[in-house]
Amino acid sequence: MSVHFEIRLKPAEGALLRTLGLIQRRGFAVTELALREAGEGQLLRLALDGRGRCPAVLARQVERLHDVASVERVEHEPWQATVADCARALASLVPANVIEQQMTAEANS
Amino acid sequence: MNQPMVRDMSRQSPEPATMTGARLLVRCLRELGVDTVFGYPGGAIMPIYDALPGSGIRHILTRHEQGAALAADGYARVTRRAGVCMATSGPGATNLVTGLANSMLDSVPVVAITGQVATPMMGTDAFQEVDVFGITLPIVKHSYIIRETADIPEVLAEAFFLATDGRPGPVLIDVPKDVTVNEVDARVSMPQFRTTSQPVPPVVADAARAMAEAQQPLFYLGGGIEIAGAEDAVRTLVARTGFPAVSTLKGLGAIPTDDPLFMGMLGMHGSGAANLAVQAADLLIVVGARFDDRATGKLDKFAPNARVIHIDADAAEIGKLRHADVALPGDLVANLAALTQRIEADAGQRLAAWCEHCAALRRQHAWRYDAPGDLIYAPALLKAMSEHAGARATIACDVGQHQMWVAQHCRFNRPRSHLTSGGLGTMGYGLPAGIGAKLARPDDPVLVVSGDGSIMMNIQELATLKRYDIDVRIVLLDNSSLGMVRQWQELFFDGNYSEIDLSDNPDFAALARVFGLKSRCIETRDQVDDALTWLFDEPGPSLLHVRIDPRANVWPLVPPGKSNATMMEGEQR
Repeated sequence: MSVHFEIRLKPAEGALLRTLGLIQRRGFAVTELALREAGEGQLLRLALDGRGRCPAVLARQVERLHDVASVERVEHEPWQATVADCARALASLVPANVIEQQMTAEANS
Repeated sequence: MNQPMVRDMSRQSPEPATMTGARLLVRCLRELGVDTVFGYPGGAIMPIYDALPGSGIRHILTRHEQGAALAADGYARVTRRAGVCMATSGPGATNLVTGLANSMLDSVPVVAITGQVATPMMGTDAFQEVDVFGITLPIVKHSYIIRETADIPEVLAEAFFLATDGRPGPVLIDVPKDVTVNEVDARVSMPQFRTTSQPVPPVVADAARAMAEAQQPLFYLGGGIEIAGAEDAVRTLVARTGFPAVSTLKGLGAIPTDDPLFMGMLGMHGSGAANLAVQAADLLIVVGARFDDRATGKLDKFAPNARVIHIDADAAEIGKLRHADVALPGDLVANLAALTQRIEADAGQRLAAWCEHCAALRRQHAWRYDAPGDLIYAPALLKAMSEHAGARATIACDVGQHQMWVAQHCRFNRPRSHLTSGGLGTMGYGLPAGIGAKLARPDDPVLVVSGDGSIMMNIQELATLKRYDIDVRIVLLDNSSLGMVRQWQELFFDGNYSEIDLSDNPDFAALARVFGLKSRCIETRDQVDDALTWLFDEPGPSLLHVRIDPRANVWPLVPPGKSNATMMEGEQR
């Protein structure tokens, strides 16, 4: 059975390799993967096949890595866009200075 | 989790306006309280070695980088501070790998500093270039490549913090040569990190209730206790409850071996009393242990009737192999203290039948030392050696049959006095670990118990003993074979002895003398008392070569894949 995780990585050398390596050594196969920059670090989304291993234990093992800021078990597939992704994508279509002007105008009004 | 604080190093020691990265690194080590490092120089790390003389840091030159890593491990286990080892790039760095894996598996705080080729050369297959950062990813708690000289203070401060914080482990710092050569502003600040204490989980009340309801409770004590410095807390709890206790290999010493409540070590070569008590228990209070397969035997038949209270510093260990009915992750001392406050004092009367059953198991399964014959019986020799050494002795051992005999027959009443490679099972661990322990505890006796297979894995460190006159006494049990492998081939491979014959061993006593140590060789029982007197009375490093019966086996033995209730017994030799 496939389980999905959303892992926030700190901006540290080797963070991605260390995290993926641990996941595979703990008996989980990575079946899908998506990675993008997120703030200073990276957001890693994974679909894993645990072959009877306990995902909650894996989450705690990943969480204790110093390179990992957070681990969350999620329902969506790695390639699926979330509401937050859509909001972020829409925001990226509008130039930052326009948003800034709009916010200033709203504040003044 | 941690809070960085800034400290201005320039106020503490006047220095020139700039300094090299190497000098800055060595100064940071001093600032972090490092007094001893173990290592071996070479090309890429030469600038750091150039900065060492006159720094106030004692450098111990081992004769192999693996010896440096394992000596740092031994030093760290005894002091509970990070042990430090150094090596150059390439083969120097790869020679540290087994030591780092050893420290990872046994949760030992070690900081390894490796030289690396200069940054512009990295990735070009330069001379003595190897990706030690990549090689060691699975066997370190964390690792760094320092890319900028100015980052040295922060990386070192964080590395030492991570190595010791929570569940300890090894941290690797790879330092390219140009980073150590470049000049940097000497007025740099060094952050400090502090652990934020975790609250005791409210379920501690559930744990206390489970303990009050149990009819056959048992403590299961692991190596996490001495790692956390929780011996006093666990001894107080055990004494207050009056519950019997067993320990893992690494848990030996958590409570004194001769405590009336102590049932012995459990597991593959555990005592019959400990294994049978665990199988009968209805509640296991597991403290700082991880249900290692050598301890549990066949997992689904382990303690089949027991509920589990699992107390561990590492939340990731809870529920990994055995479901915990009550989970207490976090600080061991705080959890044990909270539990002690809540539980009833001395349940001895309520549990009289269980305690009497455990006492009877202890009597029935007491070790026997009356093996027939004139050849030296290793368990009896080790028992006598341990008694002779006294309560302040530290015993480091290697891996194999003698390792199990040490665990079974030596007394460990003081924490951190039993150094053993429990997780990785590293042959060659004993001698360098003993060196590290003796340098950390110069006033206490340090013994190394080794085998004829293991000693040859790091025999070169006899030269280190001689060079620094490190007063380690070695007891070498020589059965002219790889005894544990031979035992398994005898029992589980139809006696098909494959590549275990070491009958062409060198003359170990003569070899020790070549290295400049005092030595003796014995082979019959009537020589033991006199030899032990010599071993302890003669000052300086020495080696006692003890020939034992090549057919001797370690008993009892739980066969692989079997329940701990299935213990094989055999002839004592």
